[in-house]
Amino acid sequence: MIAVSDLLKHYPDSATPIIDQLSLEVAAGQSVSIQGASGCGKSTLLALLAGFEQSTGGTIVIAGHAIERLSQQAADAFRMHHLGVIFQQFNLLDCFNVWDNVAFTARLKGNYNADRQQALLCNLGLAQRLKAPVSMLSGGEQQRVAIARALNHLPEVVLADEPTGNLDEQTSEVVSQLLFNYCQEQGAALVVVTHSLDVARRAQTQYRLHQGRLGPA
Amino acid sequence: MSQAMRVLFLALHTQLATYRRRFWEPLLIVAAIFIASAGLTAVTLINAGASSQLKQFALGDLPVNFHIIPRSDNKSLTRSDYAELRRQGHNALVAYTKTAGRLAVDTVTLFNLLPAANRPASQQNSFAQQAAFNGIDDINQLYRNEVTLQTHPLSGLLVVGALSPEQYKMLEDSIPAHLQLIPFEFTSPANNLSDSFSLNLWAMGALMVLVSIFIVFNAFNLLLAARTPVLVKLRQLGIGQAVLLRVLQLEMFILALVGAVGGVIVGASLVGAISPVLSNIYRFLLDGQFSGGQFSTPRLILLAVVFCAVAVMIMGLLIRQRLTQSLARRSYLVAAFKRRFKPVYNVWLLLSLALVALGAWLVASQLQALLYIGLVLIAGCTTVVLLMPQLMSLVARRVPTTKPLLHWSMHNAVSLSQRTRLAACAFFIALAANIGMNVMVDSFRQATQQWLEQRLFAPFYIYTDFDGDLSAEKGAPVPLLARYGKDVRLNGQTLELRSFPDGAEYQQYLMLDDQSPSAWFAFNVQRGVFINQQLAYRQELNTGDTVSLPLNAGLQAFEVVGVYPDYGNPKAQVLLPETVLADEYALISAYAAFASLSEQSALESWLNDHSESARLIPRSTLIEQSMIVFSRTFLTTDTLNLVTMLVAALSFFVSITLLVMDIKPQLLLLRSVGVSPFRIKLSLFSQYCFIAVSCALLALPFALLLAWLLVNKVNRFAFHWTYPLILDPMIIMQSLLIGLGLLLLLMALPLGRLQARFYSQQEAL
Repeated sequence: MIAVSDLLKHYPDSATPIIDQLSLEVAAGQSVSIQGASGCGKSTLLALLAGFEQSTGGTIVIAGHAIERLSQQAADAFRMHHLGVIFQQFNLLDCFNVWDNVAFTARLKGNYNADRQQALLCNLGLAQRLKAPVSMLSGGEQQRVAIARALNHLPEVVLADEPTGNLDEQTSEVVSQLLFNYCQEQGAALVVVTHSLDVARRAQTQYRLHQGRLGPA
Repeated sequence: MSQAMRVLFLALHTQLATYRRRFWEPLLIVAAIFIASAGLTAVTLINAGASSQLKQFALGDLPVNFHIIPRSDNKSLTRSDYAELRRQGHNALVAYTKTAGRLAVDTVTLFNLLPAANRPASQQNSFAQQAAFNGIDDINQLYRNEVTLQTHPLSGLLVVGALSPEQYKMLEDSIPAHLQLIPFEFTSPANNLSDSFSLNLWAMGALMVLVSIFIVFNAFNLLLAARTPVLVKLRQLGIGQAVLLRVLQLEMFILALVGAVGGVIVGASLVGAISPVLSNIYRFLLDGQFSGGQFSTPRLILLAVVFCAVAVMIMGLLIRQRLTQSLARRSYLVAAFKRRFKPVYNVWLLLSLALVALGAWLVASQLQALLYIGLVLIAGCTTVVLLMPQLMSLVARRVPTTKPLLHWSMHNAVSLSQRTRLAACAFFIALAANIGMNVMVDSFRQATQQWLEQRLFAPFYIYTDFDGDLSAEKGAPVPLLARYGKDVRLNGQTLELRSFPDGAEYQQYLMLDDQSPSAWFAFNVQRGVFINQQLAYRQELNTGDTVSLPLNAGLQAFEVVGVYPDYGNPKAQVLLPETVLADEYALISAYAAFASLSEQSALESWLNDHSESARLIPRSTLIEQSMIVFSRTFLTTDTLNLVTMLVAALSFFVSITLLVMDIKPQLLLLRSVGVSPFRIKLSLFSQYCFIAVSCALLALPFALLLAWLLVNKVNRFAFHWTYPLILDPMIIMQSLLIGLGLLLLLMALPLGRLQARFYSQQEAL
């Protein structure tokens, strides 16, 4: 599902590349965790996979699409239909309540299903907060809404940046289980960047990013 | 450095460091204060320049600062009073009377008061004397034939030349009990127009300040909102509320000072720069000079500093409130506050709208009318603040969720509108005032044009100072119709008596607001008269009432049989049948000449033989010139109006742009889920349109109410005349589209620069 080879990312103001000849393969239904020190390039790697950043070299192929060769329009359509991204800062739509935030991606993709969404939100413990404005939620609740939104449109690839960073131990357990189960059940590829050992251990493959390259955790 | 100073300095340094990332809010505060003070300074100086011109009056080189007049309307100044005072040695007194808005003075006495070098060549030549005192008539020329002291009593005695305190005391002691010595203010015939001009300018100035207040507070709110996280951190680090309050007040004072002082200097310079233009307008419109540049810059700056201090003190209340909340979870506090006060807000909204509806019928004076305008604007702002988000929300809820981007756009627009309410209020006021003024001016323009076209029924008009009645002269190639006039006093006020032809064919040329069933019959048999609105409103006269007019035969009672509009005339006026005034006229204001184009040259030649000063003006030229004067009168206010709207639109644009910067993460999300940059820009623009159109639609009813108020109340009580309110959809749409276009153009500009790609990976993930 995800095939990355010889990926290179060099920021102009940096002496060394942040991603250096990195290769990675993630099959459908497989999960990968990436750990590493702060500033080692974990978020950059996710941004490259999502097509938010342009690579300096190498290739990224996701679901048969060579990301760096896609036109802007095609990249947009690709993200809308194939990707689910969980942001570290949630990036929720302030003007919507919980339900509309979660429904947004599915409505965009055109596969909105109210029953499915209801079940998803119940699993995440948000059944009582469906109509609440997102600005009134706690950090943990906002995190769960962001996760629900990333999964609701049934993406083939999920990219998660610290998905449990704002959650307590118990909720973290529930959320990560849901995330990994989703990938197995839907046959989606999951790449999760995390500092949490518990979350990392749930992944089928665990990597550590160091000096721009992936190595075993 | 002491501990307290170090803390203060660090807090100030931290606040100022935020300028690197967010300099728009302070810049907006400075800009708003700058524009408000520049506008107010300009308006003050223009009005002061105009007023001083009207108050400065001199005969030749000699100033006239005081005059002696009867103490009350039922007392009179007699020739013997004049002689007695002169006999007591008060030789600097010159008798005068006012006629048709002009001043007629005793030129013989005046001639002897002038320094020898300034005297006209021949004392005998009264025309030369008249020329020496341009614009002043000779009283000896006036009192001839039927014009006597009985029909035209002396208005007063001018005290010519400077008066020392001792001379003043001596004169005051000498005057008889029924007279009084008071400062002299010459009111020119065009004074009414000047008052109107001045009132217009003040209204525009007040509007500009009001709009600026909203802009300042909006910018200040935005600044505080952006600063709150910094303030929270500073408080969490142990910097006290009092220190932060002082720092913010100091910062605001510096910003306000920069804006206010800059505004005063620019405003004063602007007036200085446009003085020649204003002078031309005044010369053309008011037959006077504009004396610009008479101001004290230090005094104005001092005034600006005082205003700044007051404004900063008011802002201090807001700062204190924000600082108290800044350690708490603000969103919960705001939500709780809204819930608690929602019923109060709704009651206030209903109450203000009810007051507006009721007030329209209760306004009965100029002060009440002005207060009512304030109420209308407050009610409008309340509607914008409380109702606009609700109405927008209603519309947003109708957008189908199957169009998620549009759905988000509409909801986000509601959210934006709630956070930029003060800027919306500023735009609302500017737009409502602009539409209201445009509708008012257009109604006035159409009414004036229609009135001129109806009243000027002859193809040509003759204006001359011919001594006598040209229409009675033999040999005229075409019939001439004289407009006879005579000024009398009625209930202590000057009243113009003017003739109107009593033939049935002329009836169609007198536009009447109100008339009794047999009006023209009563008029033709010299039993009834028509009165203008000015007289009707001032003395509360209606058709069927009686007026007593001092004619040669003594006081004669007439029935008021109709009321006619008389736009722009400051005086009360009565129209009498031509035959009545033909026997006892004091002046002839013009002659109507029923000449065809082929007869024009013959008429001109005949006129040249009879009067050198005669001017033959075609009807079309008269109408055209009147309309040019009309347009020039409103040029300055139109410009101020447009500037105010531009400023309000600019503030709205900055406010929205700043808020859009806050929703960057949401825009990034949209990009991450595959929404193209173009669609994001389109979505943002649709949000701006939604907010702007909602605001404009709310402004429309208030604008029309303002127009009605200006026409039927303010004009009615300030100038004693009104005209029909004409709601021309084209004018309304034009004003609306200009306002909206201006705003949307400004808002569309930064969209082009909105980055199409992700800003940086740190922001994206």
